[in-house]
Amino acid sequence: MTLATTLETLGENRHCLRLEGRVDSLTATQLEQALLGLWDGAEARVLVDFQALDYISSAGLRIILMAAKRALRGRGRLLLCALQPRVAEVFEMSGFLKILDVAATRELGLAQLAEAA
Amino acid sequence: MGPVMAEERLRPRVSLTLKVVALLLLAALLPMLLVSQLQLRGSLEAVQSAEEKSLLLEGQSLARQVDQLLEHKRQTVLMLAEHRLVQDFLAAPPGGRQSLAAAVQGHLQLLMRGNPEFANLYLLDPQGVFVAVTDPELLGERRQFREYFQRAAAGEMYVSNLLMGIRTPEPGVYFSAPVRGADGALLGVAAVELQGAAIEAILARATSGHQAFLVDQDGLVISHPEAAWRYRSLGQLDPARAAAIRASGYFPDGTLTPLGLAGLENLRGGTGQGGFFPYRGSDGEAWLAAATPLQRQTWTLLLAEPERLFRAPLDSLFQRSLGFLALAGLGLLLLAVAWGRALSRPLLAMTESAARLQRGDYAAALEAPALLALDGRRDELGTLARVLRHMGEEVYRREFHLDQQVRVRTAELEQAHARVAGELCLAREMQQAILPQDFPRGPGWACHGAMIPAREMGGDFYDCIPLAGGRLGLVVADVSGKGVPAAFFMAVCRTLLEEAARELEAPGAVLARANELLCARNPLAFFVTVLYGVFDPARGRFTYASAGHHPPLLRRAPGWVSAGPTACDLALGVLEGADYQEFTLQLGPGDLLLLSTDGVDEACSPQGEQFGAVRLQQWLAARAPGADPGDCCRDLLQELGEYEAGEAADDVTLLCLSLTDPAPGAWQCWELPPRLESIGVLARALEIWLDARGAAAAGLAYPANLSLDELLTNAITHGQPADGAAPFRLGARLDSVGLALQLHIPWQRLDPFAAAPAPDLSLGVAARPVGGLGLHLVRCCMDRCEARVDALGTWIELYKRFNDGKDRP
Repeated sequence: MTLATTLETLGENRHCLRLEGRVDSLTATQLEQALLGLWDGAEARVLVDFQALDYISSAGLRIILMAAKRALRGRGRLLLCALQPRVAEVFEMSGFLKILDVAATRELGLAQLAEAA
Repeated sequence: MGPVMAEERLRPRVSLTLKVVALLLLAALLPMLLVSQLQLRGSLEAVQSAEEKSLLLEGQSLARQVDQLLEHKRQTVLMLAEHRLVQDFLAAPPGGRQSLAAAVQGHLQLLMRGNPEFANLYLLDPQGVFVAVTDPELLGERRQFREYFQRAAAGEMYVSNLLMGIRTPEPGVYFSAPVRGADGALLGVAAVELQGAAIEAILARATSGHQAFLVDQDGLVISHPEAAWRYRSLGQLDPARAAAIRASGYFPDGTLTPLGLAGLENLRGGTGQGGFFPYRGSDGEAWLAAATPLQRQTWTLLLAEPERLFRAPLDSLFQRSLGFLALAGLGLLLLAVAWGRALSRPLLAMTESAARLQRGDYAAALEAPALLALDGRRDELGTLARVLRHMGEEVYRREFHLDQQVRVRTAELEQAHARVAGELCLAREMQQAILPQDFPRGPGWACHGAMIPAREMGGDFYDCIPLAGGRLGLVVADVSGKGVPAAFFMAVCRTLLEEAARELEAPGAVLARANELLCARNPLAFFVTVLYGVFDPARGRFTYASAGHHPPLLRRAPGWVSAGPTACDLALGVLEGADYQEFTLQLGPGDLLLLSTDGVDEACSPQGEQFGAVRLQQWLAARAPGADPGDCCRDLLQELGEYEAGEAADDVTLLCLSLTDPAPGAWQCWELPPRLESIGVLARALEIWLDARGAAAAGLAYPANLSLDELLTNAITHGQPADGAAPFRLGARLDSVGLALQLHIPWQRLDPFAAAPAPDLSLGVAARPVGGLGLHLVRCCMDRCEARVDALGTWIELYKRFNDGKDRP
């Protein structure tokens, strides 16, 4: 019932953050520290890989939204990819699928991230 | 007084008869016994003294005779020694004696004839040669070694002991005297031997049965009628003396042994010792000996007689007197027994009658033949019997009179009691009748009440009052005190409460109004504790106020039992102007509400243990959701009856409200501490539980856990329960359509759904506010979300249908 985050630097200011486990009220802080710092003083482009994330609650959605706001402000980019159906459903219910960029797979996500550059 | 004690009194430990017998025997026989004993002792002493005297006299007579014999023989020897013829014969030279020999011989023969007791007469010359002897065979023999010669030759008149030894074949006594010339020169010795038989002949003169015998200075028996006694010693001889005696050869060999006669060991002859010596013979027989010392010899004569000879007549006298005593004693005994019985029988008869009187058996006591027989007696016993009879008759008369009176009174009392009991019974029926027997029910709810009074008239009551708007007023009350006055007060209370309930809406106000009215008309200072609540079926709400009464017990559908809060307000009738705080419980389907009086909690087992609040909560928890309230009341009353196993100590009143459970089924419950970590634990447990119930159920785990996560995260982060706060509880139940969840958050008094506005999903990233999504997610995940907030916290009900949209069997 924990969260593991793996940060992969793809190039200059390009990152891929791999999430594994659960994001709930207990682990949301961990996600916040791993994700939000990426935009500090740079226009970072970040792909968050949801492939291995089993569960996300509103506490996690809150961090994702905060990350999206930072990316917007810093002319960076936030891209989500490979959401499991249950997780995707939660995003759907929150209306986030309409306002966030979501790629179906990691490969597509990486391609989109490169495109934007 | 029990019959056992009466029986004991009839049988004294020492009966009167026994005492009379003992007294008579003692009074008559004791002096007789004493007198006869004294007489016997006196005669015994007289006989003994007479016997002793005659024994002594006889002994003295025998001793005198022996003395006379010895004296006579002594004189004879002296005369022989002084005889002229003898002197001349011995003075003549040996050759010149022939002429005188015949004359001397003749003289000796003459003496011999005159004294037949003599064995021999001798004349010896100074050399100890027999010169003239009555036995011619001895003539010329020498006897210079014999003591009788030596002693006489020394110039002494000598008498020997009674000798019998190697030198003397027959026992004899030797007498010797010196023969002197005119010039005093020793011419020779004259000697005589006296036959011992002569002495024995004297001893044999003793009376038949007596024994006379002689004892010498050494304690040797020298003459005795029985040969076996002769020359034996009475005591133990000194060894030196014994050796000297033996060496003298005067006594036969094998003698000188002790006779062993107890009592005579120390007797010695010639000591002048006289008197009486009782002793035991060698065969153990008792003898009495009279000792008389002789004058002429160092001998003592003993005359002995067996004691039995003079005791025999006394013994027969003693036996005769004993026989007489026994005969007299037997006669006395019979007489005493007869007297004793004559004395004790009337007493026993009277005691028996008195005991019967005590038992109340008058006829048997007064008509007893033994008692009637005593009436004619002219002595004290007769008087006592008559007094006893009169007393018994008097007691009987009084008893009879008293009994009659008691019967009359008892009958009157019974009548009165029956009348009062009938009235009380009627009153009780009336009291029960004024309590509602038909209970209202509506769609989805039902209620039921019961009141069991401890005595005929109870002080408890309940009421169900239909109110405007389909609402229902519920009352449970307990009047202080019991019996008729409490019942009256109860009726008044009930009426006042009903009036106030119809007039006012808020339970607190109703109680306050009832209190004002009661205080105004309460002369006996009664008070009543009341729980009044209003059930609003439309809103599933129960609002109540308590006047010093127990809070209601609520059982939620999942099985959680809690007592509603109370404010410790005063009972009605105590203080004017009291106000009453209200509390609300939100009821849901399957909930059960129980109102009761303290007769339930305080019901006592035969061991004195109270039923108690814990047992009552356990009982309530074991009900099924939506149970019939009538069944619940009956169950609890039965359980209390079994617990008390006897008469109830207090009134018991119950009122039960049950909300129907639309989808009955078992609930699974979890209870966890109010911490964020508990959310993950609960999620895992719910997931496992759902996984085990098929794919459709498993598919509900995600939305269910997400919803619980959001709700609990909010409650814990915003509600901030204190450390050690009550745990939150989750109940889950699957029915044919989907999953029902019930979440109880005891520390929160907030409807989360009412507080959270729905988010505007149309806003872009920049405009979207961060947060506020949690409850939106819950609403999206669940098909139904409801929250009830009441005095016990927040109760959230969630419902989620199976995803496939199909109803399950």
